[in-house]
Amino acid sequence: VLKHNGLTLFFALLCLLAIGGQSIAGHADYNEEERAHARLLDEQPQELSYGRYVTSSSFAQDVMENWQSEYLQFLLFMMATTYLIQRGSPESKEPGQEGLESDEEQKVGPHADEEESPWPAKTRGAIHFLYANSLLTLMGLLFAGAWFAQSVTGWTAYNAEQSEHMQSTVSYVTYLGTGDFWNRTLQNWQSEFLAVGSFAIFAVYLRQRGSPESKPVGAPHEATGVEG
Amino acid sequence: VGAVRAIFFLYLGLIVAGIVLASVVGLSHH
Repeated sequence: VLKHNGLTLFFALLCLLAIGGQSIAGHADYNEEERAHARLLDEQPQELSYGRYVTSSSFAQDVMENWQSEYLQFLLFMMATTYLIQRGSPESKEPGQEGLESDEEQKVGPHADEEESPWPAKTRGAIHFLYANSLLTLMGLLFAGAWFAQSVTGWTAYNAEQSEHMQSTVSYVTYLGTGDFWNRTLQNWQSEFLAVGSFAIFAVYLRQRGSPESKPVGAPHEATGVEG
Repeated sequence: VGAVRAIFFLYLGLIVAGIVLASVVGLSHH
């Protein structure tokens, strides 16, 4: 089981460890700020327990704003690589392959493998359409869900801070227009877009022996869409 | 093959649970 699923189990473990670390560091940071704040106002600090922190909007917002941007990245990368080309990149299809491709290339309908193709590939109509776009659909739903979760946790955290600063709280719709929401959103998006674009172009000329994300070491720079 | 399917649903379940929990946390204070 481990040998055949190492890639996904490795990343699941890394994610859990990183979220655990984030929660510890975030808790310390939150309480430090709370103490500094209380000192300034000559009040008693309202520190949170660890359990209360990990169920706070502040922590949930920090997690969700990164999640949404990752799924947006996959969503856009999948859509863009369907229709756009980068000559020489292993992440790109070959020029001329832009678009949804033929039924034969996609092994659907009469071109589906009788035994091995998933059954929705052999059907026609709505079920086929849903299955043929299911990966993109899931990424889109996870992006929308995580972005929504970021917006409501951000709204709650923003209003908590407003109250603490003796300023008026805002409605959800008003929060969606704040600099806080868009600053957090765009700071995550910009890094995802940069990462995807830079990876696609760097892999034209650079190699990693043994990685399927790279072209074979000896593959020519002009070779597009070949994976190692 | 059973293990692959289990990991698929483990990922999907944890991600959806995370998003739903975060949404509930954000909405519950209003």
